[in-house]
Amino acid sequence: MKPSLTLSLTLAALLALAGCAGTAPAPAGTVVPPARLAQAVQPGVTTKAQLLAEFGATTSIRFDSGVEVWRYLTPGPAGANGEFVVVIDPRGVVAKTRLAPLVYQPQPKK
Amino acid sequence: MISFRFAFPALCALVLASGQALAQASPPVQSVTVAATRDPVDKSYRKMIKGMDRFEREHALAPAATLRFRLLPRLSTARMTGITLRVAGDNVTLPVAVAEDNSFVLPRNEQALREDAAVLANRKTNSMTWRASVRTPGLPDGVRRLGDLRLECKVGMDAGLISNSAPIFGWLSNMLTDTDKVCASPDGNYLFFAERPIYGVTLRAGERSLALPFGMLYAAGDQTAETLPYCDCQVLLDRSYYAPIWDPAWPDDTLVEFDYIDGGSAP
Repeated sequence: MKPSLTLSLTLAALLALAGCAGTAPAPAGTVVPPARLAQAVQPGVTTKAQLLAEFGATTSIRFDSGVEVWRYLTPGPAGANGEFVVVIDPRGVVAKTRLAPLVYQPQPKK
Repeated sequence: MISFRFAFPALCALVLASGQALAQASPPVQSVTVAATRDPVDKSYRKMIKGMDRFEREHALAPAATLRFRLLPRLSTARMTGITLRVAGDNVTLPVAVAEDNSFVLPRNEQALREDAAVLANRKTNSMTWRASVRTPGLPDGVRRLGDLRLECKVGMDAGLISNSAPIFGWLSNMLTDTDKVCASPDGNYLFFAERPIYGVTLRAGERSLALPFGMLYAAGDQTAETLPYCDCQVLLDRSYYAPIWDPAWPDDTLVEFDYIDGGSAP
């Protein structure tokens, strides 16, 4: 193998491994109308099992503490444009929820 | 040819004589006992001073703030109490006082700079995450200021604090990290850490406010068991977030407010 090709492949491998994987966007989640989410998801009451039964699996992350954060997408005029985030405590009960935009939109400078 | 039978004793004598002569010519060496963990965390004093210089040059981002550096856990087994730090050069050693929150101020010392000293902790290399800590006083508890974060990024990058890669790839990290590019780019991905686990971050500047998306929390939410060991966020994932420090539309006085998983939000 020519030295330049070896170097290129090595560099490519190193680039793939170096650094946090922070540039790739988070995977998409299940799309659910916000009104349905607001009605069905009650902090302190709704369980993880109920969420799965009602809406199916979605993007989620589980921390060492046992807390999970799930993300549903909320529809907009041209596809999903918002998100509904659910915090599930280690017992499997919804603890908190919040709404947020799906992606960061740079603001017009004032 | 000289017989080995005679040469070897002569050679030994010569070596011994040389050693004695050397010992007599050199002043007695003081023995110093240094308690240190093998393979300690070490940062470049020179680079950290460079970070401090950056703070001075760009202090306008956070005019009322002071600079400290801070140690955070990187492993679940990391012992974060009783940490000691020193600046260690060839001929100079400077103790560094570590506060209860594991923050510290690095002293300036010309000799340490000349000797390209290292900043050593009594902890193993992969056990801690290092960050700059720029804090404007008087903010509500748990609220950060965007200008402070902007300066933290610049200082942190110049100081060489980031260790988001396997050590074997350290040279590559140096090649790819440019402070101004990282801190001024939407893809810079400089990780910040809140004091406690979060589930929301909101920017607030005057009448404007914006909740940050899930994709800006938890290192973009796509860390895996394979990638996590190479991230500064290894045990801080639930506290980690990206801030739009690169977006000039948010002024430096923008407040960064957190919704904490364990209860409580910024006022």
